[in-house]
Amino acid sequence: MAQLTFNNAKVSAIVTTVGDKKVTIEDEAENFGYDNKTIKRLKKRIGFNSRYVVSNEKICTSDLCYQSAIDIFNNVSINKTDIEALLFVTQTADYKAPSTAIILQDRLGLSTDTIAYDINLGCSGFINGLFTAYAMINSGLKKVLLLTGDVASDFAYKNDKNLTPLMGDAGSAILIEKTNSSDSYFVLHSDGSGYQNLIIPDAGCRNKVNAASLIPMKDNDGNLRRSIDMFMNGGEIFNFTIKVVPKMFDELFEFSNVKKDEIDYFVLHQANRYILQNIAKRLELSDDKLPMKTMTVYGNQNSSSIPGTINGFLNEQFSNEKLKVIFAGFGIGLSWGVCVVEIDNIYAPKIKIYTINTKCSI
Amino acid sequence: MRDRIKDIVFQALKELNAELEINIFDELSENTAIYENLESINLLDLIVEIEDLLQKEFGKYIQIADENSMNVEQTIFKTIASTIDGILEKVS
Repeated sequence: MAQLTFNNAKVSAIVTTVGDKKVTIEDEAENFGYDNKTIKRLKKRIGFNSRYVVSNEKICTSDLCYQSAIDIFNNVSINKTDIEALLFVTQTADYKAPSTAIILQDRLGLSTDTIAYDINLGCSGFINGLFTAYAMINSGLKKVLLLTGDVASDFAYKNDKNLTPLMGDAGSAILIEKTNSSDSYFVLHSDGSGYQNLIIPDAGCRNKVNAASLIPMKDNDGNLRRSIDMFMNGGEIFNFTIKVVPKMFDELFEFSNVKKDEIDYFVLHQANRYILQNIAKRLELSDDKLPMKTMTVYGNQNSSSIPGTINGFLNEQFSNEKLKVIFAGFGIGLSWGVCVVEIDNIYAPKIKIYTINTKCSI
Repeated sequence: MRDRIKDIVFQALKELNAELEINIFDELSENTAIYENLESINLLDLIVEIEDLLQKEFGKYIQIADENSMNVEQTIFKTIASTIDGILEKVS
């Protein structure tokens, strides 16, 4: 069972950059065929309101992450050549090959001694990326830079009313460093039997791109998309989350011996208001302990939704307090994970909007 | 107990009917089909509405959604009768 404990790694900085274009649900009503009644219902039940996306299709996830990383280098006392590993968690790499992390090693001016590779994950990506970084620190490294995020506009078809209006574009940078004492506990799971419920069917090795891949087709719900775009079986994904998410909290509490009342904040992947409210009700948490507004303001930020929630709504607390927090992510794979970590006055500024001219001052 | 839950399910369906401005649930009986008449987002509406009403009635959160809620073969939300019985099982 993947239950792991670390006591010598800590998060020192979290920065998130979002796309430079704000789109409201009203702006998109015509594209998705929403009437006023539907808009009202989507706002109330799902939490649709606005999202931030990139204004230009040439802006990649790596560009958003680059800006976040540069912000850390400009504001945290760190020599960037001391970074020993660079992990890039994304489903929207610059190229099919090579790993974008290696390109970013050079672009960020990191040493050629840096370990750099991509991790292909979505909504559970922050937890898995953080786990990998903590494991690297536990193995002897001193500084790891974790980058997470997606330009979801790249994989969600513009007319897909099930998926596209949910999605926001974001890229985060998280600095993880060696410390003398900081306890953390991770619980991680995977279940590939549900892989077809959230998938880009074509453009991999299994189904190569062909002429048919590029033609928009109506699915069983009458929804339009191409087979090179992300498909989501919303019902099955709902069934999956309700099955695994409450259970993984029970598992974490039992394994770590950490009590619910010791936790200052529960920061969950922000994709589904029902599951967030479900966890809040089950654990009898007040709204301020479990933030739920990220999707309403920024959209579903995939592997950046947890750091995005911190920079969007908890940056003051993470910057000025000593905290014990739970992070939880769940989604594509299917894959899910939860961890409890200690946070102590880290660098966590308010969320940044992407600007094309990012300069490093060191 | 079953009658209390039946009242809650009826009330939630009437509210959904009004909110969606539909007439699917104008006349309710235990045989009324639910799942086949609702899109998944509207079924989620109904689940939340029923859970809120159950919390008011019983003073605690009772989760009625489960891993089969959106599975046409196994969902408890096929008809009003199956919904009431499914909730009764979870409440007790």
